[in-house]
Amino acid sequence: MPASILVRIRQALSSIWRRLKLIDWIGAVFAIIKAAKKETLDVDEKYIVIKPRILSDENYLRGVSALKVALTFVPFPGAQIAGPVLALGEVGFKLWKRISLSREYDQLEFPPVDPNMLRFFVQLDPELAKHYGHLTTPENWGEDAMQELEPVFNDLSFLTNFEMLRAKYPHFDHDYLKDRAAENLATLQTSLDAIEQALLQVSQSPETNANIRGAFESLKGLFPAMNDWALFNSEGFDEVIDIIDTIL
Amino acid sequence: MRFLKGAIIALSLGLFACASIAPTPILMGRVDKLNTEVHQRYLDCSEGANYVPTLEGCDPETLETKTIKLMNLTVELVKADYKQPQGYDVHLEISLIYFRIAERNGSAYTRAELIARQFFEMQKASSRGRALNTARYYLTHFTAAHGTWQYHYAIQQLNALRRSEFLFAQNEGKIAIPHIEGPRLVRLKQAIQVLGALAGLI
Repeated sequence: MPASILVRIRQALSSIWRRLKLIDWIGAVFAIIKAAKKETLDVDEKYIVIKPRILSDENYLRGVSALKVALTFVPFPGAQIAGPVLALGEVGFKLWKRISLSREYDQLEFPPVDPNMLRFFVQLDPELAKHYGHLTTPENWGEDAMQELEPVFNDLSFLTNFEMLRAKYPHFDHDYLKDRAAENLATLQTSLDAIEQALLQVSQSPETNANIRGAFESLKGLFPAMNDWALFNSEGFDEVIDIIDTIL
Repeated sequence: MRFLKGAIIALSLGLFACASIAPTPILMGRVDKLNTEVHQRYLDCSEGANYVPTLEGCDPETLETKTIKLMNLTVELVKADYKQPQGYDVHLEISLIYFRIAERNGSAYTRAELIARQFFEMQKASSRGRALNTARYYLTHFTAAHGTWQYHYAIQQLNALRRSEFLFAQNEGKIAIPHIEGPRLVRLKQAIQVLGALAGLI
């Protein structure tokens, strides 16, 4: 190797060494540890069945933070620019993530009934057991039994009109059907109250409050005539909520 | 040219890595798309609240395949960020469909209950915990669903420890009642009733 190259290498190493000596190493180590410190939640490990992977979002961001801090201590050209660039990336990632996570995901209007719960319910309820208990025995239980029981169970869970229940299930005890209709209606009204209260909480004027109360009073008046929870699926109901949302 | 080859290889490796270890925003886009498809397919098989696989336009096999695919994808989403509620929320809601349409066995129920418990514990520990009541709803539902499976197929598992878990989930469900609306509220009340009955049997 020519002597001139060796000299150049020695000069470069010497320059790097001089710069490295300028770094506050203790301060740098503490700052990097602080930036990379894991933010923990007070959750017992035994409840964590899906563990975060090594390249989790949190670890990506911790790595970026640590690198950003480390670069502020590096006395070389370019490092001072890299810090703010990384900060931009970090903010961009958080923003991107926030936007992608912002959607609501409870899309099932009617959550499906769990077949094992359905079977247990039929066995538990004396009136249902009287008429359909035979379908829940080990020898009869299966897809066909589920198909037969599910509509009955859902009618008894959601219909709010006694007359309709009686027309569909004339073999059932009338007092039982009355109780079911009344209970379903009460649950429906409770749900409507909850929606009304949620809207009132974000309302900002007495006029809007009055409009919301008026609209919901009319809606509640419709319920004794409602046959089922179709209201929650209806376009009319969505339109009312949209109008209320618009005026808030 | 050598530089270009290197860049292409690096880019390919990066894209390949994103398929399995993508950060949340990339995964969320895929979850969103598949979630919409699964819901639409489930709606094609539904009449109101009832699942009717014989309906015209319903394809139960594809629905099941897509449901399982989405459940696996949402597990990846939880792994990418186990603090945010969205991964758990989509996973558990799709599990409701899974247990209605697909095979129901003890290990699937155990896993669903454990994931619901993790969601609940994470929300409880989080300073924001904005999905705490949703987590309570799922915990109550899946504890009841698993409990009824045990009642029918593994009754020896219904012991004193299980009873305390039933009562715990029932209590959390009761706390969630004022915050849950619509047909979900009906299901929540049913799960609470089931848990009370199961606890009474032990």
